[in-house]
Amino acid sequence: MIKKIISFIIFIIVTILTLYIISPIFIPKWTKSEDNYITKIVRGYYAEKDNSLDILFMGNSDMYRGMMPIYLWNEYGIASYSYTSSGQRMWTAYYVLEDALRSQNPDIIVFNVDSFNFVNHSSESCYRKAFDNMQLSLTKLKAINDPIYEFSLFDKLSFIFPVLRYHSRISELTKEDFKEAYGYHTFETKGQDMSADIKPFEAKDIYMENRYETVAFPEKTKAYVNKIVNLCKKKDIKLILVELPSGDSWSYAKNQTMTKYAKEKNLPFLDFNLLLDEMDFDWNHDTADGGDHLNIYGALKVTKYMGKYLKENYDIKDRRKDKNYADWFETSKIYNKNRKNLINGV
Amino acid sequence: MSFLTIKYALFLFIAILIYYIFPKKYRWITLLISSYIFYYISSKFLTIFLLISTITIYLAGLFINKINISEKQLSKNIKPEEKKQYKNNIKKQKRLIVLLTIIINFGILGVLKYSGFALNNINHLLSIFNTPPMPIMTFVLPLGISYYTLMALSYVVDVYRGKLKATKNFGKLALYLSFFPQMIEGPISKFDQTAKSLYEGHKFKIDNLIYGISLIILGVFKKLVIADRAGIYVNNIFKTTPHGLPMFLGAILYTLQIYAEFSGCMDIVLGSGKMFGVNLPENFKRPFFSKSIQEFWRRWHITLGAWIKDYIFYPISLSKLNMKTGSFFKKHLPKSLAKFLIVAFPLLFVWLYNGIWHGASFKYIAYGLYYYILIMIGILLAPLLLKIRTKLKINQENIIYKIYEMLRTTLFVVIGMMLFRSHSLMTFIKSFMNLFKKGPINIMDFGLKPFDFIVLIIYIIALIIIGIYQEKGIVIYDKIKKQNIFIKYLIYFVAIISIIILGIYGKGYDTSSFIYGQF
Repeated sequence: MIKKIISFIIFIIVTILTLYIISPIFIPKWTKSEDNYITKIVRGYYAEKDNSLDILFMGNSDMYRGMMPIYLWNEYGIASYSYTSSGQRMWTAYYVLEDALRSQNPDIIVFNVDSFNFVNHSSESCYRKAFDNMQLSLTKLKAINDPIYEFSLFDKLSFIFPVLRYHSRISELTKEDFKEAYGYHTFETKGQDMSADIKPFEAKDIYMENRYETVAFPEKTKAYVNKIVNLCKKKDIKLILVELPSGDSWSYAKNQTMTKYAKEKNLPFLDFNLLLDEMDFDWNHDTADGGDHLNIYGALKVTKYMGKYLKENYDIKDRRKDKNYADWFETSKIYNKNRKNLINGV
Repeated sequence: MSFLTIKYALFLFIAILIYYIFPKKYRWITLLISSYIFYYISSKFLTIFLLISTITIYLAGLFINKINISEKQLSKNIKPEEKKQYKNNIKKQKRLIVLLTIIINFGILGVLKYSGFALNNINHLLSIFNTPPMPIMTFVLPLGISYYTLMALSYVVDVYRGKLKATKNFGKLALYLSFFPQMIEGPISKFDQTAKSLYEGHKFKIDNLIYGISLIILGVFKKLVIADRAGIYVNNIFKTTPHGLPMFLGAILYTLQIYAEFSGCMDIVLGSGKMFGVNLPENFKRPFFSKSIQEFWRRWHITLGAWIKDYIFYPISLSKLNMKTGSFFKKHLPKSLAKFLIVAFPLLFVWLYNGIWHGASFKYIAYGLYYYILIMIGILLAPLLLKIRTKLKINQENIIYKIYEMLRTTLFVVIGMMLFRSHSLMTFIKSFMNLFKKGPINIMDFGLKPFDFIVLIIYIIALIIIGIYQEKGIVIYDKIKKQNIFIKYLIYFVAIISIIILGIYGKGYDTSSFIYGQF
């Protein structure tokens, strides 16, 4: 009888393990520009050596389009990474931060507050992109069990065993699905999604001009931003709130609400939408999609300003002479080459 | 509550746990409570109809019992010349009780399931005479009403016929009629088939549990991997009714779909029952190995066929009217024609009932009549075919001839299924005509990829190979049981992983409900 029970338990374990192991094969490989390189951003983050990053850039798509960690390396020797996800809500941002801090202990976190008042659900694909590749941990379990997501039991199981969600891909699996399923590989952009497209933003002169409108900070999202602030405090991490140029989703009213909140929490808040002239930012040239996201030209301007700001206000180590960071030069070379190719349309 | 939900798995698990926790004597009570909870969750206040059926057959059984007892006691004191009269009276009383029970039970079923159809047609007629239409009410059907009504009536008739002694225990009768695994799609078991097994407090046996789980896994595989996959193609085909091969393939795949789905559901039902130690009757016995239509219906939905045979065919065949006309035919007509006419009358009711049981529409009536006509033609042509066979020296036992017969039967079944699946009789006629029209052979345009076809073909091949073994009397499960533990677990492992990877479920696919559940 005992033998039977033991063999049954082994069978159950082997079956569950198999499902877990084959699952990454079935997860869609968001490794191309149209998928914003999400797989590469998440899995590339895990490829970074533990406790090697000094600055983390976090937030939604505005951040992965608008920040160039490699520029900061080239100019200042700053080891940073942009660990983000698309369509991110504050309740996802918090868990992504918690996950990020499992392997890194940065000095500074730069958090883009763009979606601070978004109370509606993000799309299924945005949630899946944030959690499918997230390593299984207590943080992930906490996230998928957070009632705010309203995940069904089946959904929750499918975040642990994504094969339950993506098994229909069986007939369309390619070599890439197997190749990209396992192991963590450095993402040469350190989390940036580069776009060389140019599409001017037409409402550039008015989007920050409405001084009469007010925007509330909903309790639903504030609770999670508070959690982010508290977690950084607890871990002794300096938190900088930012809003990268975003004509599509930002406004003066939002700036006011966030400025007030930052003041309350005694946090710095950099609103790049009010620094456009200082950056020499041009909405006709520096956005890829008519004001929603930045292109590489806009990203460079924002990063230049950011780098200067960080250097002037914080004591950040230059890692260029540190042997442990030797591979960053190689990564930077690849990045620069890719960037050049992108600009030249190769 | 659908079988294919985590809710059902949990429900089953808890019901089993409670069943075995209680002492053997009370185990049937736990089954009864679980069954009513299951029914209430699924049907809410419609549970009242199940209760009405149970109460009527319980009382009918008791009354008939009472009449039987008093008959025995009184008949001793009755003069021999009055005995016949007395017996006739008794029979009349009993008949009245049965008749009343039938009226109440079929009445409920009739009103809930068929009144809409009937009134629709009456209104159609009324419109010809410019008479205002009657209001039509549509009802939500209580879960499994088409199944448990037949079970209820079989009980009363069997008590009336003296085949059963009516039970005095209301709870036990209620359990016979409400055992939860049977409530979705049957099987339509007779009282003497399941009652004993339901009331007996079964000892916990790990073998029963494993066998039950194996059947459930098989059922889920059939439903999710095969039926729902074929269903993708079938849905698209019957929406557009294309010409030629794609349409024919649609009819074949629908036959496969309904088989995998219905027999898969039965596997889940039988497996669920087995886990309590309860044996339920089989509903399928390799139907596509049938060499004739009659044989097909003895292998497909067996319990429905058996019910119709016992409670429609026999009573009509043995009725005075049929007996009288039968002897008239025998006297005045050639032997083969007389034989044909004797069965023609009761069989007409058998197939009409079979058709209408499946649903309230002309399509289903036509479905029943389709088989009726096929069988009657078969009987009519039998002597001629025998002559041809003898002349051509065809050996009926020859394997090639047998395969021909099986393919012929399957072809007729496929056409029948086409009618069954079509939206209406008219759309069936249209799609049937389309079979013979030329069109593009674009079978890849209907939702299935080559990979899906490969899965279905492998399943069909496996079905044939396993079927051949089973026809030889080999029980596959026993064979698996004898394997060493590693092989056994490997089989379960492959089955579970296949369901998870190949199953049509989750977002993107929408798990459809079992086809037979609506009947």
